[in-house]
Amino acid sequence: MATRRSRRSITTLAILLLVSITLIALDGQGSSSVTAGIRGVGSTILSPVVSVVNVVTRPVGNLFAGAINYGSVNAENARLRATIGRLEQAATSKSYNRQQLAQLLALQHLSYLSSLPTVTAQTTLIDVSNFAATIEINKGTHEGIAVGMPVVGAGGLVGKVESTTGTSSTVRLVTDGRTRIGAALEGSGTLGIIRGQAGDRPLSVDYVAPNTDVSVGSTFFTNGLQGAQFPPGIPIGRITSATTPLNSTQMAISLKPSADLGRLSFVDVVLWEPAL
Amino acid sequence: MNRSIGVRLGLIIVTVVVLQVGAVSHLRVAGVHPEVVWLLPIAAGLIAGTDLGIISGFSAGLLLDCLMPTPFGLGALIGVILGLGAGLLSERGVLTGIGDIWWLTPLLGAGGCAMGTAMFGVLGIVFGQEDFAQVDYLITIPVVALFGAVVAVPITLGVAWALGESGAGRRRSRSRRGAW
Repeated sequence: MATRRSRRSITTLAILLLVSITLIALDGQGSSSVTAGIRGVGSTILSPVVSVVNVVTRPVGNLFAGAINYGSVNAENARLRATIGRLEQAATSKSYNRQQLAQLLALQHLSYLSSLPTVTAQTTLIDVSNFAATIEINKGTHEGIAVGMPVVGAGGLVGKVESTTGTSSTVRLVTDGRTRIGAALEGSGTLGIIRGQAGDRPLSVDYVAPNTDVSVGSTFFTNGLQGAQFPPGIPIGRITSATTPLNSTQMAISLKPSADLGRLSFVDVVLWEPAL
Repeated sequence: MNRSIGVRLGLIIVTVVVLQVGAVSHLRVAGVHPEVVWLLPIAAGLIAGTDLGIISGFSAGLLLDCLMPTPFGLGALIGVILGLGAGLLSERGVLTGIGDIWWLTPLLGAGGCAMGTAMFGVLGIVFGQEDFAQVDYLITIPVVALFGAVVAVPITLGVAWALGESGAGRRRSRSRRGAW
């Protein structure tokens, strides 16, 4: 009896291990319709519930984050008050004319995308995993969104669509460890590959030759070269440090993302698919 | 496993996974949020043995995989391993005689969550996710363990309810198995 039970346990264990490893292997191929299908069904069923729970519990999370990060919240509050003061002063000294308003609106509507159509989406979930930097948005294939499309907002490139269902999509952020973006430096056109480094670490740039003329504060843009994953001209990040380590074959360049990834309530998905 | 246990266990699993993705991910310390899902197979394994441990671990992990951007199946694999480990600890009587120590559940919760997160990283790298090596485990694992200790008791009580084990019943079944 005990032997039969233990044999059944071993069989169950073997089957579940085999299924798990098979699913990982299929998913690793990147184009498995089996895993995408299961994930899609599960996500479609659970996402509405998760979204409701998310909306209900977000204030609690904000309260918790405020308590944990009290010092930095205070500092940010002070910075914002200073900014508001400057803006109020500017507003009273001269009224905004139509031209300025048009410029502001143009900025808000991401002029760097020129004529590319976009779909505006609301962020529903942020960073659900400790192992990947992603956001979930409330638009999917029903609005024409497809895997690989660039996502912009809050001042620059946010990331790219990783997976999508009818009504939602997962966006992998530029800071994620798997991100690789072909980039060109403003002005000089120096080419490099921008790499996410996970967590709160800055972006880094690979393949820039030693002692290349780059200056702190300059911006890297998507280069849009043939076969690129993004259209050209989207700001990716601003250089915060650039040095050439001794005996290194490339420069060590750090970037701060152009997009404010802490403020992603809304993003624009660019309806542009990378060339195969 | 009879039908009512299956339904209750399924309910607990769905609830914890939904809370993990929808609510718990807001709670961040040093950029790290809790990984409470790993407590399900640990509690099920410790209370009911390997069979229910690995089944609940697989189910919870697979459900989590549906909502995560990480490799599909990896959560299920970790769940099975944790359920097996906890079940073996219970069935082999490793925890004999310390079942009534109040801090044992939080301690096992902390250890299990830490182990689940570490295994997720290591197996992720083994299965080709090189970027998992960039995660700062010296911060992630302690934070996850701390949260695991805090929520271990309520989740264990929920799993015990699902398995139809009252407090007294749980103590009886522990002594019957000579385990936790």
